[in-house]
Amino acid sequence: MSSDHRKGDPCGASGISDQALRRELEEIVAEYPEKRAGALMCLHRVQRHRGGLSPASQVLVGELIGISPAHVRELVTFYTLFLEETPGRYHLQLCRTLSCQLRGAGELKARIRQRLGIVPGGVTEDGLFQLTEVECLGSCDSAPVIQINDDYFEGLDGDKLDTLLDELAARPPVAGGQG
Amino acid sequence: MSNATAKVELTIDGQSLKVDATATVLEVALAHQVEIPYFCYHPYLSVPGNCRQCEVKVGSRQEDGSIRWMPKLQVSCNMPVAEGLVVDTRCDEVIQAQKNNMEFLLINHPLDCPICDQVGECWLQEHAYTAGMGETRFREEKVHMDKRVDIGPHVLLDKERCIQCTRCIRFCDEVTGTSELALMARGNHTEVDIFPGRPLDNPYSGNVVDICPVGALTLKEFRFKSRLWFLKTADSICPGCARGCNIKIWHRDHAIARLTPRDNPEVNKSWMCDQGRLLAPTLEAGERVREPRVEGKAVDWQEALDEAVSRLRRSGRPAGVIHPWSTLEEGWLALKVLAAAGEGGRPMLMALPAHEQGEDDDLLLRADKSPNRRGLENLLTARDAESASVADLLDRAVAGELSALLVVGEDLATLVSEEKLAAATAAGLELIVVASHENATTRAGTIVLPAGIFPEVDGTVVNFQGRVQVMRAAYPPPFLARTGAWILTRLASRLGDGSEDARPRDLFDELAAQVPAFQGLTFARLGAGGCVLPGGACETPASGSVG
Amino acid sequence: MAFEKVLTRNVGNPAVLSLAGYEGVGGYVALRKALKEMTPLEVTEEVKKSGLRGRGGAGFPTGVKWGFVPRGGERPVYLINNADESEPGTFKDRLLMAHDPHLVLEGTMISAYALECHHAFIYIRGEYVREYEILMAALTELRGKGYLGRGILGSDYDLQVTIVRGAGAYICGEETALMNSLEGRRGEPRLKPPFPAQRGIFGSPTNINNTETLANIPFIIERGAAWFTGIGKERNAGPKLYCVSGHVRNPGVFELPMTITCNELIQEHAGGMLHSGHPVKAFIPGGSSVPVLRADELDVVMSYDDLAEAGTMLGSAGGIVMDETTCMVDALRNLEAFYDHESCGQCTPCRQGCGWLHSLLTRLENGGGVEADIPLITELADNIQGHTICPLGDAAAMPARAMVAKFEDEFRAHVTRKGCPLRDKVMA
Ligand SMILES: Cc1cc2nc3c(=O)[nH]c(=O)nc-3n(C[C@H](O)[C@H](O)[C@H](O)COP(=O)(O)O)c2cc1C
Ligand code: SF4
Ligand code: SF4
Ligand code: FES
Repeated sequence: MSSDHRKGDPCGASGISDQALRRELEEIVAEYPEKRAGALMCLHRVQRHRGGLSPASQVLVGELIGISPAHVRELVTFYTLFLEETPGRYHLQLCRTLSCQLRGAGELKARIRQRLGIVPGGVTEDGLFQLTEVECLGSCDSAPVIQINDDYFEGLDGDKLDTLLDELAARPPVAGGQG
Repeated sequence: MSNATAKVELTIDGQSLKVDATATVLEVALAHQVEIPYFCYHPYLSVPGNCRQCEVKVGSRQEDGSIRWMPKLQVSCNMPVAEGLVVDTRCDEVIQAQKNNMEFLLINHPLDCPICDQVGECWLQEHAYTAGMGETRFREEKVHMDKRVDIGPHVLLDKERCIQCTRCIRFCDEVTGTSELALMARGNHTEVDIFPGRPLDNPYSGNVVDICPVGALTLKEFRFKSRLWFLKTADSICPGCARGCNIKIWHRDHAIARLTPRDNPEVNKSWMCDQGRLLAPTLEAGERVREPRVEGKAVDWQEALDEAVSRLRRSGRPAGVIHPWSTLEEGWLALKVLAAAGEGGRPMLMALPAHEQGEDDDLLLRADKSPNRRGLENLLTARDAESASVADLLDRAVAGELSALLVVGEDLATLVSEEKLAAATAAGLELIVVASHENATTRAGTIVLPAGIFPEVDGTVVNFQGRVQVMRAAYPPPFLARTGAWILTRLASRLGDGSEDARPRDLFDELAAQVPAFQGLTFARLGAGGCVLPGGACETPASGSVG
Repeated sequence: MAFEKVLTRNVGNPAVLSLAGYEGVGGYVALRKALKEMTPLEVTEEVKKSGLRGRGGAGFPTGVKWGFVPRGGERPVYLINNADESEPGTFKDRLLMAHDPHLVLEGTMISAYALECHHAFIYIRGEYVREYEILMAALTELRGKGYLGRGILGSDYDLQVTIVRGAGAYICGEETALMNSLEGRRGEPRLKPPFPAQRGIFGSPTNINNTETLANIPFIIERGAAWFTGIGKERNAGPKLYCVSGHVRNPGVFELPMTITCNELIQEHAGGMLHSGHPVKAFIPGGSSVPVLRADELDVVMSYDDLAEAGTMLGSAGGIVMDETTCMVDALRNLEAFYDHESCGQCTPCRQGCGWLHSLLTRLENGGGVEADIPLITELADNIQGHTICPLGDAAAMPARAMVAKFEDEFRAHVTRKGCPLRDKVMA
């Protein structure tokens, strides 16, 4: 387990004002030869602050980079890291691809279901955990892997997972975002 | 197209062709009647190459005459032509690839053809038939999606039928620039959609229905949901504004089922606006004038025409009002009538009211809501008619200077107040009214002659660019009504100018010979795409199937 | 001559995360050399001479590719460092970014100079958040110390570097999909022509290379092409990062010359099989997209050319080891689920075919298969491959065809026994 106590901290809901957010986005966009190129970085930033990409956020980003809301939604639905709704506080992104499957991703999935009562796509009732199956995370040497929010938790097995979930559940909620 | 562009020589299915060096293989094939199936390509949109249906075998001729084939088939829509290129669209490999691709397109397709509006013009159905698709090998569950999504005031989307060709999206990005449509999600779950609360609501939204190669996008207003083979068609011109979009009228039982654009690269490409597309209800609203009337009494045509002629003659110098919806032939005849009825020596008096609304946009729509203003102006100029406003004419009537007014197509009460009209008739003005619908003018009319209106009219019109185009009737006027040209030829002939039997095309040739602006034109030369004034060279668009 | 690790020499040395630490071990010497002593064309020539082949998958000679980029035209030239690394079984670029961010940046900067590019982009997959932060910290330090911007390191060469995060899409590793993504569009691969060297991002000539490819550049410039060609074998020169995962005791990234065989990699470097009682059954040598090798085919050398001769590919050098408990139908089902999920969806054969393969294999694995399914897998693969805009279609087709060809009996057994004969063993 990581010694970094920040590992797995929730993102989202930083409470930043619309105006301040807009300024941050303008700064991002300024780095590109064309405004539209700032799209992904802007969406990442908004999601970090707001937790999810609401229709209003999508419209805001569209206005800033000069594309229609439909073309923003197109990105939000194409790229799996973008979420229209704020996920549970701990977003368990369980790798399901071959190397992790060979090393027990299936067991982790079963364990999560058993412990938290959720299957991929589900959120626990207290909103603490959300499970998503994801494709290869690029950490196959430490399979099986779960990415929780921004961090990778590697070389897991059922017991390590239990300990990890306990530890996360016990953490006090963090106010404000990170990064 | 005089500027010479570089040419290359290539071979398609053994046919040697010299073509524009910037063309693609698909463009060349379509222009030379070589059939290559395709879905996503559209001549007026960018090339995404996504449907993969248009693959062909391509090679290059070597020095020794042999052909070096490329290892993979290539999509013809994105394959630039080149000197010595050899294309085979018929070999087994290509035919098999087309079949395989069709199989992929059909596995998740609902195959609900019996209830699909697109039957008869579905490219999927057509190519499936040509490719001779057999039994399905697909044993899996189909991907299910929403089948009835309301994406805008005029358009419905069936996501299961959609083949993700992106034509509709590209139209909204590249033609209208409104970008309401986009592709959501990805892979097998990719679907066309709008942003919630931002409907497909631009002045040209109906075009996406035309360009959808399958039945995924349908027009809410497509009336009767007719099976296409029950519909008759006529190639005509939209009367909705001065653009004069080339259109096809689809009709049944003397009613319009729908209007769709016809390709004319110089005028409207293959687009039309929603206003024009949805013109039918406006045209069909209101009460038609059913029979000829003299002073409120129904009479037969003979009597009505004779009576009209005698009143016009009696007036000494009748004036006219003509709606710019009228054809050149109607305008020409109206002028003849005025000239023949008048005493001579004084110029004819004619009002050509403006019908404007909104502004010109940068696609098709014109503020001038009439299809033939420019043409009629040319005629008036050529015949030295004195132009006047309707208010002007009515003032003259009140002043006792005008006693008969030939009104073609206009409702004067929409141009001046009803009181003003009443004052003029009270002062003795006799109105000889050629009209399709009952209105304040027909009610005030001394003589009312029931006439046809689009799409019952044959004739020619001149758009704002100065292009003469042919409007064709879809069906004849109802009840006892006759076309404006029929009525006016008879008036003119009774007044001693011309024969009763003149057909619109003869009238066009006659006016073209006499009006300098039309010099050199004949009806026969107008062709499918029309000709530009003055007497300009005919530019007939390349007729390819544009859908 | 003993093989010297260069690409991974700083792995495990956190000092190199700072500029001073990196310079302390000889960092940015190559950049200084290039800027002071060589013209852009000379740098390109040196890379050409080294024979360095792209480490992103296709193995195209890097110097030759740079030669395609027009110089001195009206439009600016762009360079992209492709750090999207999402090919299943591949995690080498991540190691470089996490442990040696300045090496990644130095490689990018020298290459940008060679291409006369003044704005380079690093496109890193969105999941690599911490690697992004590490790279960003290094970049920020460079910017602060005048290593980027106008007239870098006292030369008259201007360079700006921007790091862009992807957002969850394997397809964005494909070069033209990446370009669309970088421009703020869906990650849909583009039709060719035009080619990126003519019209890439922002309508300009663009060159794109893999992160590992570019990490080799500082060494080639500092030590010379001859040093590079002295490693490995002809046409397959230089150090190579191999990833090994799956049923081995010591999975990881191994820097080796391209003279190593699959067996050596698995047995000697990756610590041998995970369970001594379960020998290797199959090995995917180059990431999920390449044809699988059977246990009896593993004496092949893991070079571009040897693997090609063996009917497979070096690809991204993402080796996945499967022992005898692994069900090949299920392994293929897993991969086709991946391609189904990752297809951008624009081409008919890929959009429909990947979904079809995925459903069919799921049915087969679960006991619902019929005899006709087995030839159908191969036919579908044939009908996808070569008929799509980008090679993802091929990537979905190649493993399918190879799996069926090499393990046909196992596929048939799923039909005759109405289910997976190995299922219980897989969970072991
Ligand atoms: C589906 C697909 C995914 C790819 N993913 C990556 C990737 O993650 N990283 C990468 O460097 N190249 C990837 N490539 C290869 C790139 O298209 C491109 O060839 C490569 O970045 C060129 O760099 P190189 O010449 O240095 O190898 C991918 C290709 C395909 C078809
Ligand atoms: S709705 Fe029609 S036009 Fe639009 S993408 Fe689907 S099939 Fe193509
Ligand atoms: S082959 Fe697949 S991933 Fe590649 S462009 Fe086509 S649909 Fe997209
Ligand atoms: S028409 Fe060529 S790929 Fe669709």
